[in-house]
Amino acid sequence: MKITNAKYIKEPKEDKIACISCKIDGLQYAVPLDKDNTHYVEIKRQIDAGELTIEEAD
Amino acid sequence: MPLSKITAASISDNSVTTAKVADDAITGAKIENNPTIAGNLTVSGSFAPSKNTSNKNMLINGGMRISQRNGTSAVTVSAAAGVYTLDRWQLYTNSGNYSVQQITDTTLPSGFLNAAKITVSSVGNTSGSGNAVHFEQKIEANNISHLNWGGGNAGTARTCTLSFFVKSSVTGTYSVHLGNDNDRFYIATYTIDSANTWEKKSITLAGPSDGTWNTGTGRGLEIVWVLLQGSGGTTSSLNQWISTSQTFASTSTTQWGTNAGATFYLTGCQFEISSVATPFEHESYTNDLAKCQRYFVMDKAGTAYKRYLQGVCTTATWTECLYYYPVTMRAQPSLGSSGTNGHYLIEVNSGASASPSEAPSRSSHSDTTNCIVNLRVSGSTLTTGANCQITSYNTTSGYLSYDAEL
Repeated sequence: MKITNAKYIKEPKEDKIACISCKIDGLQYAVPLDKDNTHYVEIKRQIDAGELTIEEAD
Repeated sequence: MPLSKITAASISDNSVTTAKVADDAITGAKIENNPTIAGNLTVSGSFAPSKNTSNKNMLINGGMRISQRNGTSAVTVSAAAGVYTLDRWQLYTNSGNYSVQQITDTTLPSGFLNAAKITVSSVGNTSGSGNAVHFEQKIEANNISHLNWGGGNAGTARTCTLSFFVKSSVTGTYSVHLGNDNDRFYIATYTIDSANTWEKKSITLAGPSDGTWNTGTGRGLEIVWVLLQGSGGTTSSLNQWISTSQTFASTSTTQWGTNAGATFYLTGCQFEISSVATPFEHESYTNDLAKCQRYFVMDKAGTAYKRYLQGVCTTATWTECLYYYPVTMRAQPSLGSSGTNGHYLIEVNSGASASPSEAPSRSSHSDTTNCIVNLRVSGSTLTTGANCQITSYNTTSGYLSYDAEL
């Protein structure tokens, strides 16, 4: 998976991360922080491998 | 006449009637193992087969009817990507480009309306030992737990049969890989005898008595139709369970992906508990679609101003809308959208409207039964507490998708 433009998104009314906004193979996604979600597993793998960084939330 | 002289020909037709045979005189042991009954079979008691006669197919969308993402449009899969095409079916390539399309035509095997068509757009090669082109489906572990594979449960590992209809422009011996993506893999071959002709193939395998097989919502079994494979992923250990990871094909597998313009069609894919291939289980369209929607849901615009969602403005800049999935999803899904803010419009009950300033996001309060979709507008144009709805604006290009594929 080619993951680009990754950024944390906060909950509108809470100081809590809601999801990760990113493009995966060119398509726009909001990825939940769920260990069973295939996209999230790949994001974690790429972060651990030093291949991806995620921009902090606004 | 001595009994030893009595042959079937000695008994005139219809002379042995039911009344002349004592109750229970003919035991099961006296009936051949695989009888063919020319007429109808009526069972007045309970019918207790040793395997499922419905819901027997562990592959989903084996008839290639469901294509939520692309409909009948061809999608090109480029190198170094695994892309879901028809529902539940993924094409992986790291060598060459290939198009995948749901097709229908009059040459399909009897009873089938659709097939997956794969075409070589840009040829691959086997110069890299890890090069590969795979058309595959990953089966959820929940759906194979009854096979007793791995020896974890009581009972023996069940024998299963994979069957499918295939048509290719390139004849030869092809490979199929079945494995748990962990420590047990089975590579079998089948031969395409005639170019551009539908042929039915089947592969029967005894279940493995060991190995680490998942349970639950994770990956259970991968079934891979190999269309190209570099030498690093090949083996001569066929038709047996092996533990060598990243092994997918026979050393003499046909390198279909190296042929410019080659085509490969597949339909009627079935994986069942059985020692023989039984007829394909044609399920209702509703069942097929619902099974696919556990892994992916597409909500396409279709028409301008389609109403995607309704909800509430939680602040002057944020809306929150709730979507209930058609079925419980395998995992919390990713929320997909077109990537173009102008494809969406927020309408509020005051009559005002606003365009979102960023792509839709999903709340962490969502789960596997529903998704809370958040949309933000620039400025403070919304009225807190007002009802709102998300529409497709004046376009048919937008969509919201929910992706929990394996």
